[in-house]
Amino acid sequence: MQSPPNPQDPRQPGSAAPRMAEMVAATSEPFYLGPEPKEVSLAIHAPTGPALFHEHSTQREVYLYIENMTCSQPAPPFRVYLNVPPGHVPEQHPELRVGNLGTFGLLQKSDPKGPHAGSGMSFTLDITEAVNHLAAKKNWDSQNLRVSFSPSFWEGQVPRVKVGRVSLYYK
Amino acid sequence: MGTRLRFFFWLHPEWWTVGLASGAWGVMLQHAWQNSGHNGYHGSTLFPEIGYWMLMVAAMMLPLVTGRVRFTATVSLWARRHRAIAGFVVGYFGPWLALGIVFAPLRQMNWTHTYAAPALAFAAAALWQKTVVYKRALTACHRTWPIAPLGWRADRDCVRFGSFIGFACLRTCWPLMLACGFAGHSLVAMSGGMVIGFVEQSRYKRRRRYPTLAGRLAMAGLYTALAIRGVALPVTVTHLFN
Repeated sequence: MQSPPNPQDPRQPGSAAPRMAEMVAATSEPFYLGPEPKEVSLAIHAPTGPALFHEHSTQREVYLYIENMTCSQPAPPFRVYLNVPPGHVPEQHPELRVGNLGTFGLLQKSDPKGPHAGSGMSFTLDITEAVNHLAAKKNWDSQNLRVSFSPSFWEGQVPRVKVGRVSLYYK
Repeated sequence: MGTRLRFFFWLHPEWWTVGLASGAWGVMLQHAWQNSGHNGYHGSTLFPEIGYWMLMVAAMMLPLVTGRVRFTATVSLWARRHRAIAGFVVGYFGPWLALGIVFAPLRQMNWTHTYAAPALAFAAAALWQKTVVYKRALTACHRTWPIAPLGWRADRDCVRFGSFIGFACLRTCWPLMLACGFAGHSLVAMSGGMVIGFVEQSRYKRRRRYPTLAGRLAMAGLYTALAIRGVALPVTVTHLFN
């Protein structure tokens, strides 16, 4: 028999707890995207706040947040993949693709003298279904996440695109 | 009730910076009460002047950056969100402390203890609003910043973010804050300045330009009227320095 929910105890499921996104993983330094696929690793920390209430819930939501993407030249869109097997090209695994980063307006948003003060572009990807799929396929590590970026087709040279941070949120 | 309070604090991690600002207002209110009637004619020595300057900054500016404070907490690991906020606040106060160190010696001069000084500073604030530097700085006040999750890099990034926002706020508000300082941290000046700051932050582009310009000109007009009244009627200045 399941014990009644107790909001005082974070280990107990509590429907009264507000659904708040809690950051559990992030990159430590900015990195650059270019003509070749780029992979970054995120060390996932156990949630200690509101996400604890929904940690083992089927309703838990997972979001990937790509922040402060800037570039001084027009750049192609980038595809995002999760947990691509080591040594494999991301395009070989369309089932691991979780989103597309559209770069229309990147130049304007990257201008420090422009109306966005150089913050660049940020993207939120709902990867809840993808994470459930990865877990079902035994391709999910609860302590580490690999995120790969691959440029779409682009005429001309792909410039260096700076990404401020990639972070993972549980909700 | 305890759970609801806890959830409220979860949703508003910036609560203690608002508490800091409220405490600063309390000290400034007491300071104003003790020196009522002196206002611009009240003087302090160098270090107390810097202290009151920072209290004024905490009272007026911290409530205006609660959005950035909340952002800092949201993008940090839950266990270190208050440490992240503390790093942001320390970084934020840095540029303002530097301006305070410039302001304090100015405040030792006799001419800054007249109503003309804040009148001129408010007028300068109105002119400053027309500059490109002001407009870019106002936009920069809303910037976001990538913050590392753990370790000394996380502390570094929080302080950096705070100082970036602090410097942007300073470039926006420095004449206004100097005016409030020259007015002897008067409640009228501080309240007026804070209202102008809120309107600037909350309204979008052209719609905020005219109300905030009108606010600055109104404050300049108020202190000009006080200055003219001071010339027309002799004022016994017996307490230039308390």
